[in-house]
Amino acid sequence: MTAATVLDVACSPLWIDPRQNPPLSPLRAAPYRTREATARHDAFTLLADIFRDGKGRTWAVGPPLPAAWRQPGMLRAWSAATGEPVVVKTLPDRHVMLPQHYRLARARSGGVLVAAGDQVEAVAVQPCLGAWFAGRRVLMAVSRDNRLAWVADWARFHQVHHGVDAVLLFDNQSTAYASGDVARTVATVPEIAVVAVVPWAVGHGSSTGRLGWRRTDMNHGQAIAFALARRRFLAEAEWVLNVDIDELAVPLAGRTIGDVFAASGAAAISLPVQDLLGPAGAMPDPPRHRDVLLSTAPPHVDRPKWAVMPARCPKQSAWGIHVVDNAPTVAADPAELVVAHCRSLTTGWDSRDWRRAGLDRDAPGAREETALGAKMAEAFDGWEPPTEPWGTAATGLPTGAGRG
Amino acid sequence: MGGKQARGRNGVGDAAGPSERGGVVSGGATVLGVDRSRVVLDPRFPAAMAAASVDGATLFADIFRDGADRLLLVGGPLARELVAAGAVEVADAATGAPCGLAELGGSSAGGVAWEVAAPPGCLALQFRLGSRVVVRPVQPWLGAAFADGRVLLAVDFGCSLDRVATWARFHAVHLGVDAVVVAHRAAGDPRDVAAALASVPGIGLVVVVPWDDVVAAPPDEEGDDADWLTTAVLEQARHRLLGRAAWIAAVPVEAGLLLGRGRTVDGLLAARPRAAWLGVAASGKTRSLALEGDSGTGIGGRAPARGWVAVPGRCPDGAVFRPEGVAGAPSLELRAADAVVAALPAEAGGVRGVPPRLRAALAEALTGWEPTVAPWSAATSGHPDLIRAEAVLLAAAGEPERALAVLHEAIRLEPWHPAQAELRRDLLRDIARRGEEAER
Repeated sequence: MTAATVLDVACSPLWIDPRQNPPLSPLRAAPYRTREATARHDAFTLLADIFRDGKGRTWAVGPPLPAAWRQPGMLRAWSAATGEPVVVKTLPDRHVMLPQHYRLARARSGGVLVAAGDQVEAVAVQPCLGAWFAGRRVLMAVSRDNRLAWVADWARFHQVHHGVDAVLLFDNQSTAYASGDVARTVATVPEIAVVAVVPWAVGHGSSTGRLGWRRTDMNHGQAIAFALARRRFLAEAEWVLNVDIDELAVPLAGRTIGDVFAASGAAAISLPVQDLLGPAGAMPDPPRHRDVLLSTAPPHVDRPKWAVMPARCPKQSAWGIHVVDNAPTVAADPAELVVAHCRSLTTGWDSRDWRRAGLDRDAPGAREETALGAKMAEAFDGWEPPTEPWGTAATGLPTGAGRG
Repeated sequence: MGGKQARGRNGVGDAAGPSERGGVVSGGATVLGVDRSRVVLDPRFPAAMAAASVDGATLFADIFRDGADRLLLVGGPLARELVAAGAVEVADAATGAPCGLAELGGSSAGGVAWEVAAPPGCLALQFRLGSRVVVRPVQPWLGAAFADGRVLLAVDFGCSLDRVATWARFHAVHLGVDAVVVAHRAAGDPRDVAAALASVPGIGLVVVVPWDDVVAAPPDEEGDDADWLTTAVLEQARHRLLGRAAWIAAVPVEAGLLLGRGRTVDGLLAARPRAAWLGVAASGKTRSLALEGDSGTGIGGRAPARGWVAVPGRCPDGAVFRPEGVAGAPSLELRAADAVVAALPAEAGGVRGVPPRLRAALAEALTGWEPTVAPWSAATSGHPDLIRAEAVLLAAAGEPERALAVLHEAIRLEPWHPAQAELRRDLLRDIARRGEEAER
């Protein structure tokens, strides 16, 4: 029996029915779209969730809209209880590529009827769950089909080194296991008090482009998850750390995330990211974070990640993938606090990705990051995570599926 | 919606479609998308009893408000067992205040619905099952949309779209039905079923409630509760959707409710004011219907050839909607001269074994109309972006021939698109290579 409380939560998405409405066309012009981006574009998620925040206000978040869906009157709502119109306010776009926020004003108790184009959907507004994460140090990520051992190691490492006591994970339609398997795995990490695995059906999208493309305009899934997390789950958290499953925030000089926040008045910490590759020899099967300690000389730096204190975030700030927009931010000293990005670990990485990133694990000068390794040893020595999915293997039956 | 605004009869804003009763209207009903708040069991987090051993087994199938603003749950035998054993703690999600449960209709009725003693304005419930806390919102009551409606109600176990549409059309013409509620218990997309029903002239409002996710314990272990699921489906529809309907006709999708000459449903009900529901038996020697579709729900491959018509307003609070009728409500059984239930032909135009009266009624209903809705697919959607995406996915899945066939449709729609030529070239090369390998 685990000590952690496992929250089983659901979302109230609104999916476009292509029988009644035009799908969402990609924002990026055709010449700049790769084949992968075309296939991974989510054409159907109009609203990822409709929910209440801690002040009882009703919100919805979704992807940025193409022109066809920006016409007045395309999105309307009524209170299901009273039939009174609900005013749908589309918050001003600070950037056309960012997630779209909607405020449903005067949505009284009970659900709402939402008319999107020619569709009409009865939607139950999801409750705010901020109270469960109040005062917690939260680890947050979007994940798909990452090995359960990696998820456990990821949670374990941050609990040991930063005192993380809650995990909010968006499971992006994993097929290797059920979300219950992930929750169960994380819940076995000692000192983790709250675990929530959100079944996340929003397409992650693609960050690849062509013809000199630079903008990130086809991978909204993660940013939408963060926008949702901020209002619905984490408004009262002490702080929140955004790192992927293959990333570990390493306190090299014993300086934790809490220490940096305590020493500064900043709302966010920008964490430098250093790429690491697999061992010089044969890769263990399965690999673990601690097997991936090689760094090129000089170290290859990736785009930063962040930690944020919600209470210090200005209203107009936005939690992006690599940056917290419009929030006072302090940059962590890479000699003290760095995110080790164990690239070789991630599902789907192969030699093409290494070459594309300009990395070569066999290059002369590659060195083992012993300091990072020592920190991993502190967290992982004497620790073995449970790794077996409990769903299909345990019962022989299909795992529970479907909507919330 | 409280009737405060001038709207179509379906009460759903200005997205309403035509809803004339009985006339030949060109179709275009409003489809109201509906979902459920489910609580399922997870053996990874055992509740305090051994029965919770089926992964994903449904504890509560929906949480919602009814027309009297009561907060209700529908569930099955597992729910009854856990609630009786005190193994599930129900609370208001906002405050954590515990909520009591009282079975609707009393345990003697064997019902599947509970009323939750929740604080006023409760918006969400939390269910503590061991170390796991399930938090779900309360679904809205939608009865206003069906107020005074003449509703056709059934469970679909996987009938073809043509058959579902024909069933709805028959009852729209023959009975004057103007709204349809279908509980979808099959593998296909419920939105295809909704589209098929919405295309039927005379139907103004369509709701297809997805029920395909419910995992029930195997039927041989359920004994008398083998049909709890259909009862839960009907009770959910009754309390959440149909409490203010003029009348509800529950007829299997494989069957037609055939009225006697000169009879109408309104007339039959008006002549029997003390009956809350009227039972309709099968015609002739037919006693059961062969169910189309997978029927992989423990219900079996056949269903009783039986229907009923109920007036929700006449049913006592403790009555329970069941497949065979409304338990705990006064009823009368209609004579064959008034109405019978007969199997509809499985195929369009099929007349073998169809009674002459039904054949005539079908002919009347189907004259000048035939079902036209096909399952939706990206490849035939007419949206170039979706078609291209489908082609890419098929190519990635190692199906270059299919991908090429799909891509040709995108090329036809948008010949100029820059990515298509490259993909087409790659697919042709892949097909040629496979051909060479096959020859070797």
